[in-house]
Amino acid sequence: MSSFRHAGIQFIRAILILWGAFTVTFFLLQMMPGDAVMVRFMDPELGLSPDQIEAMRVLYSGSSSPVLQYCHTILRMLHGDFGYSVQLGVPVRTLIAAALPVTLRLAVVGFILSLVWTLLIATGASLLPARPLRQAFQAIPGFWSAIPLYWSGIFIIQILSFKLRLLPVVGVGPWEGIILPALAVSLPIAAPQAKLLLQQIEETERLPFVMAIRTKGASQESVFFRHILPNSVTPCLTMAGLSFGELIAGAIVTETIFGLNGLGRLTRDAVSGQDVAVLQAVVMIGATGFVAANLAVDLLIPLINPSLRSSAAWKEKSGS
Amino acid sequence: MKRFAPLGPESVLSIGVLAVFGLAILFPSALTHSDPTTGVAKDHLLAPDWAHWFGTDQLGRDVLTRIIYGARETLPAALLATLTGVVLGAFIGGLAALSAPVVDGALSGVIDVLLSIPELLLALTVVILTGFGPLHAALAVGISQTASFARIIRNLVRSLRAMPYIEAARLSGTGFGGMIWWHILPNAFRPVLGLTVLRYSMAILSLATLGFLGYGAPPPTPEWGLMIAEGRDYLATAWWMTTFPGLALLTVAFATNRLSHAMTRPREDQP
Repeated sequence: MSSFRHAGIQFIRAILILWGAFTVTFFLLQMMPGDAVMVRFMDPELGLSPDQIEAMRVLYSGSSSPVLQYCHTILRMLHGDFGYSVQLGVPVRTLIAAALPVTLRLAVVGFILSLVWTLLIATGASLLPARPLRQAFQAIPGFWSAIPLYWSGIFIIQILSFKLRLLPVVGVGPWEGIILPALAVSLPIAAPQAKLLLQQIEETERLPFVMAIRTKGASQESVFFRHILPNSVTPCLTMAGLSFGELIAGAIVTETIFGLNGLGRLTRDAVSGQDVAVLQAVVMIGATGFVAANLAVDLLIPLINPSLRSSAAWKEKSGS
Repeated sequence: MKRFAPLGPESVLSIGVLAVFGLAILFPSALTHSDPTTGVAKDHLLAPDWAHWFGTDQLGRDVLTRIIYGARETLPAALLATLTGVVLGAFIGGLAALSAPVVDGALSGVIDVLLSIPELLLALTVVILTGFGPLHAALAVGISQTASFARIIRNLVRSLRAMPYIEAARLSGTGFGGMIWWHILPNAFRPVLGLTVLRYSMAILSLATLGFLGYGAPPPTPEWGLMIAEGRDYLATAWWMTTFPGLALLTVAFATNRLSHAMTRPREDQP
């Protein structure tokens, strides 16, 4: 029962956070200087009369009070209607529907790759025979987090695609085309995860039970994979949930470099053209993904880490 | 108890690297004699040699010179961004931790909401609001860092406040202000400083990202992110235009990262 209640509370919290994110961005973007609609339609080349401009203004944002607009916008959004793009004159929903699959593919593949890197770094830093090698692996997370994503992306294209001709970036299927950008995105995502995992492993290694298993003659590998790693991954999962937003942000840069038409490209165009409705929709998608990923991690952790599950059960039994 | 552990070789190296960049900020003309914005047209796209260590760009400007002057664009702005973040974050986080549960709950809710928006998207929201430019970009990065500073500082102050020795100080008559000044500030200083240095390295990268996307300083400013963006068009023939500004970013961000690592590492004399 209690785990259902916990799930319920977390769910309500997630909804409240999303509502807050909407409110913050709505009022931030409403404060924008130089109404984007006005700037666009007051262009004398279009030759619109003041009445027509006013009509456009009502069509795009409405001239009612901010509070009314706020209620109106939130109701529309709940129905999946994100308004119109000022720049392109098409519904934001259409733009998002075209862009989302590209970015989701990028995010999923990039995320899986980052988990692979994290495990490889942790294994290398713990099990490699020579001490300098282990230290080199320990330094990887700090190094990777210092690499500018666009810079590594440019070189990944240049070296893997143009020089070595391993993977083309143009004229390929949706999945082949995503491998190189996902590789670029995965490095900065993996860095904080791996850093945290290394810290946790260091702490777990000092625990008495690990010492006990070691003295009983278990091999390095079995101690690491069967005992240290499973007891160290939980905080890493939380971090992985947090990194979802990073994936969306990483898409902005990566899609520019690799010429993908996803959410990142959409965001970039929206900022350049002061297209508020599009930017707000992207922010809401980012926040929703972040909140959903955290909710999933929060509900998954008790299933993965046995010690947390049993302590919750124990608390329930003891009636606290 | 020693307040500062002796510096390890890694910290010395990091500080040395940062000192070189500091020199570039203060006295760029001492390190190079050419001009960062006007080039010699006949010397365009020269490969690195003894006259131009890092080569020249499409307008015949020396890349090394531009990188040296670029330190002045990114590094002070990143400092401004991080200071904005830590001051706002310390204010919000400290207020939350020291206030009544209702205020704490409300502020924590606001922090949670801001944390749910990816930092780059939040920075872009501020950029769209304030317009493009180096100062606006720094402000945007600072605001996007505020929530995570506030969250960590709130938790830190709360955990300090619950420490037995602080409770003892309160019981023995130390006032509220005295508790903050004598007990919370000195103990929070070191971890917050370590966090600030780490965040500084991230701010450098974020600012260069905004520059790369074209929301920072306009050309011909020698900003590193912008230089990488300009060099992209000449990548196949002039690799140096992209490689060296990126290496400069990487070096300064990595040195800062290692410095913060050394600062936050638990010391041997403490459990």
